[in-house]
Amino acid sequence: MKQSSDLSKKPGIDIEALLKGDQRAFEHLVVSESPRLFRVIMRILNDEAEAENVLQETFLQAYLGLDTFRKESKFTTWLYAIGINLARASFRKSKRLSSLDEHDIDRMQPTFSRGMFSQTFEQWNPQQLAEKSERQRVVHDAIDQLPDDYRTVVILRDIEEHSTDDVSKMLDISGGAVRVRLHRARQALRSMLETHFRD
Amino acid sequence: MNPLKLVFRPFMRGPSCEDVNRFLCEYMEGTLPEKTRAKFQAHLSNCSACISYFEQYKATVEMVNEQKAISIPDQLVERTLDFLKANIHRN
Repeated sequence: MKQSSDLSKKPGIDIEALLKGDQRAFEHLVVSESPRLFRVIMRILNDEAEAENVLQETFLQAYLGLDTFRKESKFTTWLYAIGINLARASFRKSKRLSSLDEHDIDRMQPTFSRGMFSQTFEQWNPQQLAEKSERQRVVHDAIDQLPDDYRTVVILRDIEEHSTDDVSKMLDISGGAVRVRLHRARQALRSMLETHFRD
Repeated sequence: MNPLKLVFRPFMRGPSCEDVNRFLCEYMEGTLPEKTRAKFQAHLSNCSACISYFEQYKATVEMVNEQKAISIPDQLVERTLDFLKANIHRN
């Protein structure tokens, strides 16, 4: 790693220095991005020790692959794409498979007849589960049941609040595909939560 | 023909519940074209089934968003930097 002296003066990440293999610029990246990237990886894996291993491996792969960064996205988006891929691979290896498949997601979408809803929807009362922690557990369990592709989009868009454009680059899919997955995931979650929150 | 015009063609005459449902994500994101958004809102404010469904859809998104914060392990950054120092030279 090469050394540089002026990075401590910069508030942001110096991408040019990073791409030249500057050690302090890379350390700056690790310090500033570790917490947020760890949260994303942890939400995918639900395993703190493994999430830390994946975080470390992510930075290592990023450093060793700096010359493969094409500047087609933000550097941090590229970094997150590496982390998300590694986390999803680790999740698949752990064989903690989601309990729902694509057919289940299809079944949980609303149905229509001649363009109109073919079912009615009773009012919800999320306060039914008075404790916020209990509500969070029910919702967490529902998210965990989603197939991997859907769960990842929900984590990135609706929990970690990355933009559709960033998520599309992180997952290497179109913005339209992100919206379709997110919409189908939300509708499946709505269907799963219905029994808990019906008035 | 502009492909967007084709996608939003149902909105020319007035969208059905199914049309509205298909674009709930774009509606919440604020990415619908202005005229489409106006027709979308006109339908949403007059259709009780769509109102009820949209309320549940929004509540779902809000509850997903209030997921518990993830705590960051102590010394996470320090351990990561140590790991990198040990492994970068090895590679």
